[in-house]
Amino acid sequence: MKIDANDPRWTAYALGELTDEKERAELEKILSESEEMRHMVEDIRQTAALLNDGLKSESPAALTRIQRDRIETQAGKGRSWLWARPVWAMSAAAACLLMIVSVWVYQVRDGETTSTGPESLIADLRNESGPASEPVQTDVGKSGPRVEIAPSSVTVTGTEEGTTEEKESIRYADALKSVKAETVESLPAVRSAEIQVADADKKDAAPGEPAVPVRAAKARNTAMIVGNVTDESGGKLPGVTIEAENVDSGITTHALTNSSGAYTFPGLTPGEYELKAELDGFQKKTYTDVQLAEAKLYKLDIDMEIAGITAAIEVATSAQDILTEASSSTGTVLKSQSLIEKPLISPDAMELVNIIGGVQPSDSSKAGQGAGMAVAGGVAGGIPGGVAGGVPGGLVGGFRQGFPSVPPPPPPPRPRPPREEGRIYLPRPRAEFNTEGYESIVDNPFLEVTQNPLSTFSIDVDTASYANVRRFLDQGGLPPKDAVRIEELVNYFDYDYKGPGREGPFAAHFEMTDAPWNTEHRLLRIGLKAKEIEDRERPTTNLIFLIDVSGSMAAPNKLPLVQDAMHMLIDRLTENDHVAIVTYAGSTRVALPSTRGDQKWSIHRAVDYLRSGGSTAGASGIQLAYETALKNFIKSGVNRVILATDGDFNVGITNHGDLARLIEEKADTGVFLSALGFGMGNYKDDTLELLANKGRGNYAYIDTIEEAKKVLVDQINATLVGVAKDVKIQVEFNPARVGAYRLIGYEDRIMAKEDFNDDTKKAGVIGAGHAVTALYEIVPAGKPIPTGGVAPLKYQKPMETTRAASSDEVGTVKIRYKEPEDANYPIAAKRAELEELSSRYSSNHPDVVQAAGELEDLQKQLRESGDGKSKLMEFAVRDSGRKFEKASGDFKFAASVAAFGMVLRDSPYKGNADLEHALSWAKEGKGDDPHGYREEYIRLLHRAMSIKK
Amino acid sequence: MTIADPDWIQSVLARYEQPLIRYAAHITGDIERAREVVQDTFLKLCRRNSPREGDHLAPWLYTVCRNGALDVRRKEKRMTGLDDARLQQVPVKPEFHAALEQNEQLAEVMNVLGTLPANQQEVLRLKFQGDLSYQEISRIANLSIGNVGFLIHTGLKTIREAMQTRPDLKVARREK
Repeated sequence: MKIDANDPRWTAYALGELTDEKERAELEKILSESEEMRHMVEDIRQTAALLNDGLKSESPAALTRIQRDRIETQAGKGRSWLWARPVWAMSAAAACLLMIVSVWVYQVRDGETTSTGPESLIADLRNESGPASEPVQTDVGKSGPRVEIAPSSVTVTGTEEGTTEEKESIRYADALKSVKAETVESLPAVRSAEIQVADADKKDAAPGEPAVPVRAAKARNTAMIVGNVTDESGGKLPGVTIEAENVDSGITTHALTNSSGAYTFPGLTPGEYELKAELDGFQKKTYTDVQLAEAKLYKLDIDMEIAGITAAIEVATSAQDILTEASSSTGTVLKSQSLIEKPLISPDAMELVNIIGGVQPSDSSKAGQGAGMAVAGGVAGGIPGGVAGGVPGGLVGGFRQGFPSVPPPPPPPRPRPPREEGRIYLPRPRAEFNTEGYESIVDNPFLEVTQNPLSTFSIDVDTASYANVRRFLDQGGLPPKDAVRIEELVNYFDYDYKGPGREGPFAAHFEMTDAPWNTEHRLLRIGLKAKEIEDRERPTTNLIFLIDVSGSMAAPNKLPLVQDAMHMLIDRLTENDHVAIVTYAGSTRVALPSTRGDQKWSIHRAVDYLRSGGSTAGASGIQLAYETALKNFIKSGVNRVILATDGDFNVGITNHGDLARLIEEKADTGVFLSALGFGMGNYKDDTLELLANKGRGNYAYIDTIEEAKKVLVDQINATLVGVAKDVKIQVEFNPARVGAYRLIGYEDRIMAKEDFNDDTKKAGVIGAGHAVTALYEIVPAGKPIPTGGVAPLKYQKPMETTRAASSDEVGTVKIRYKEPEDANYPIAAKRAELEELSSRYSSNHPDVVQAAGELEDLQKQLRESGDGKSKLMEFAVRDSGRKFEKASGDFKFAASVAAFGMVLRDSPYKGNADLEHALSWAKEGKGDDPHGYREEYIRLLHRAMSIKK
Repeated sequence: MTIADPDWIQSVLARYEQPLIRYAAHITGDIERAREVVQDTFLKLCRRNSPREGDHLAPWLYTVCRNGALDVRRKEKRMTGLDDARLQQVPVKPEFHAALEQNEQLAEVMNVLGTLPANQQEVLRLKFQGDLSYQEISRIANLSIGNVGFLIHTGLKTIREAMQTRPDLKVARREK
C-alpha cells in the first residue's frame, strides 16, 4: 500500500499523534523500506522541535502585579496564604524566612533608585549557627516561573556575618525608624510578647545606598509577622497553629510553627488582627487588638503555658519521634520517671470542669461506681423510661465532672530512647491526657413484670462501639467500661435473618433458649431485618460530607483515613448521587459544591486536596453543611449530612444541647445526619452518638480502612437509605410466664412506655439491609430475681391477668415505624426556597413575604396532621423450651458478643459468662462469615484474654 | 460561590500564565489586551464550580482564553473598522522577537510562521506552545481532528520547505 508523502498522517506519526495502531503499523512498515520517508519524518520532527523552541522562547509575558493580585484574591477567599502559596510564589524575603529557620537578622536595602519604583531587593540573611548559612545566591526571577517584582531580578544572599547581639532583633532601614514607637504602642493587649522594630544599623548598610522599607512578599501594601513559640521552660514548640484573624474582614490566615518553633505570616493585609496560638495540651493564647501597618515587619514571640490538671508531659527527642509515638500509643498514659509533673495553671473554673469532664472514668473508679449504683437504684425503683442515657446533663454529667480518674491501663511500655542533654525536648501532642469522652452507662437492671410489664426502646443501628473497643484492645488495653455499648457490639454483625419480602420494610424474627451464662434464665432474641435494595434502586441522594480538617485531624488514622474512605465511597457512587464537601476548622468552607456522583474525578480531586490545620468550630461547619444540603435538596430523595470528625469541637458552639437542637431541627426538615468517628486521644464518643441520634442517622467509628469499607462500601445502602424511621419496639411480658426481664444494652435508647404510641416521639431509623438485634434475659415466673427486686406491694395486689396470660406466650412484641417518606419534604423545599430568596432580596420583597407565608402554612398543616402516622406490627412470642446447645449459629454468636460486652463492662449481670465461654460460643456460631467479621471477633476475644491475664 | 484552592490556582498560573498570554497575544495582536483576557480566564477558573485538571484543564483554559481573545478582536474590529485580512496578519510586536535575535534559525522559523494563514498559525501555536494534543486542539479550535492534523501538517510543510530554500539555515541533524 502506498501512502503519499503529502499525507497528513506522516506529520501525525512524527509528532506521536497517530493513535490508530493499524495505521501506525502500516506507516512503520513503509518507513522500514524507504530511506526517503525516514528522512522526511526526521525533517518533520526537527522542524517541529525548532518551532517548539522558537515559540517557547518568545519573550516571557507575565500578568501584571495587579492582575495577579486580583486572581489571587479571588482564589484566596477564605483560605490562608501560608498554606496556599508555594515557596516560589512568595517574595525572596519570605521564602528565605521559611526555608532558613531561626534567622533573625534581616536587612533590606534598595539597590536602585529609579523613578519606576524600587525594583531590586537585597536581603542579607544572617544565620548565626544554622547549617543553612552557606552563602546562597538565588535569582528568584529564574527560580520560579514568575517574577514578583517585575521586571528586574531579585537577589537574596545569605552570609555568615551574623553576630550574637544581632540575634533577636529585626533591622529596618532608615525609613522605618519612625515606626518604632507607633508599632510597639499599637499592641497594648499583647501579653508576654515582644515586638521589636530595631533602628537601622548604619554600618550594615552599604555606603551610598539609600535604604527603603522592607519589600517582602506583596510587601508594598502588606505587613508581615514572624516569631518563635516556646513553652515555659523556653523549649521550642513545633506544630503550633497560629491563626491571624483580620477583625474587619473576618479573613483568617494560619501559620504553623516549624521544627524550630518559628512561624511566619508573610503577607497580611494591614489592619486590626486577633492572633491565637494553639497546641493540644497547652492553653490557647490570644492576642487581641493587634494593629498591623502597611509594609511593616513585626516580631511576636509567644510562650505557651501547659494546660490541664497535673499534666504529665512526656518528652520526645525529635519531631520524628513525636510523630511515631503519637500514632502508636495515644490514648494511654505512660508512667515513667522521665515524666515531668506540671501543676494546673488554668485559673478558669469552667475550663477546669471541661478538662475534668473530658477525662473518662476508669474501671477502678470507686466513686464512679458509687454514682452508677445510685442511678441504678433509682431505675430499679420503677422508672423504666428514664435510665442513665436519658439524663446526660444530670446525674451523669455530675458524675463526669465530679470524679476524675485515670485512663485505662497502659499498654506494655515501648522502649524509649533515653533523654539526651542538649536536645530539644518537646511535649508529646496528646498522650499526656486522655480526653476521650464517654457517656456513663449503667446496665439495665432486671425489672419485675408485675411492676413493669412493658419494655420500650428505640432501635439502634450504630456500630461505633465495636470498632472503638477493637481499637482499645489492639492497643493493648481494655476499653473503659462506658465505651462498651453492648447493643452496638451485637449489631456490628450481620445475622442471617430473612428479609421481609413484600409485606413491609422489615421482617421480625424471634428465638429463645436458656441464657448460656445463667441456665436458670432464658434468653430472647428479637431480630429485625430491613429489606435490601440494589444500588440502582437507591433513590437520588444528596450527600454533604462535613469534614473536620482541624489540626487534631492530622494523624494518619484521621484525615488520611477519611480520604481513603471517601475514595472508596466515590467509586461506588452513580449519577443519581450528588456529593458536596464542606470542611471546617478555624473557618468553614465548601471544598466541593454539590457534584454528580459520576463526575468522579472532581470528587476524588477535592478529597485529595483536603488538608488539616487550625482549630475546630464544629457548629458553624454543621450550619454550612445544612445550608448546602438545603440548597441541593432532593425531594423524595436521600438528603444526608455525613460528619467525619474526631468530635473535638473545641471552638464555637460546643454546647451539646444547642448542637443537638440544631440537628434535630434539621432532621425534621428531612436532612438527616450520620456521624463517622475517627481517631483517638480526644475522641468524643458521647458527642457523636448524640449528634447521630438527634440527626436520625447512624453512627460508626472508623479505625481502619476495612471498617471504612464495611460502613461506606459494603453497607452503603444501609448507611444512606432508611427504609423505616422512628422504629420503636415495645415488649409486653406475660406475668404468668415471666418473673422479670432485662434488656441487654440499649441503655440510652430506653423510652417511656407512653412514647411508644406517641408519634411525635422520635426514634431510630433502620437502613436498607440493616439487621437489628435486641436480647432480653428473662427470669421465668417463679424463679428468684437476681437483683433489683422490690418488696411485695403493701396496698395493691399484683395486677390481674387476662385470659391470654394463661396461653404459652411469653410476651408480645410490638413494633411501630413510619415510612421514610417524610411529610416534611415540602417544608424543607419551601424553606430552601425562602433562604434562597432572602439571600437575593430584602425581607420585605413580595416574593420573600409570600414564601414565608407559605412556609408558615405548611408548618401549621404539619402540626395539625402530625408527623406522619406510624404503623404497628405485632408478634406473639412463645417459648419452645429450646436448649442453648440447639440454638442457631447466629443466636450463639449474638449471645457470645453480648457476653463479651458484659465481661468488658464487668456487668453485675454477667452470671458465669467469661471470655473463654464467649469464645466457645462464638466458635460454635461462627457460620459462613463471608466478610470475615466474625473471625476478627474471635481474634479480639483472644486478644482480650491475653490482656486480662 | 466557589472558593478555588489558591494553592492549585498558583500551580495553574505557573504552568499556563505565559503560554496563554502568548497565545492570546497572537489573536489580539496586543499584549495588554492579551493580559486582560488571561486575567479574565483565571478569574473564571477561580469561580468555576468544579475545578478541572489533567486532561480537562488545558483545553478548558485555552478555550476560555480563545473565546475571550476573539471577543476582544471582534470588538476592536468594530471600533477600528479593520478588515479581516489585516486582522489575520496580526503584526507581531518587536518585543516578541527579542530572544530570537541570537538564533537566526529560530528567527527564520518564526518569520515563516508569521506568513502562514491564521488558522495554521493558531493550531501550530496550540500544538507547540501549548503542548496540546490533536484531540485537545480540535476541541479548543472547534475543528475536526483530521482538520487539525491537516493544518499542522501543511503548516509544518511550508516551514520545512522554506527552511530548505535557505541552505545556511537548513535544519541540521540535531542531537538530543
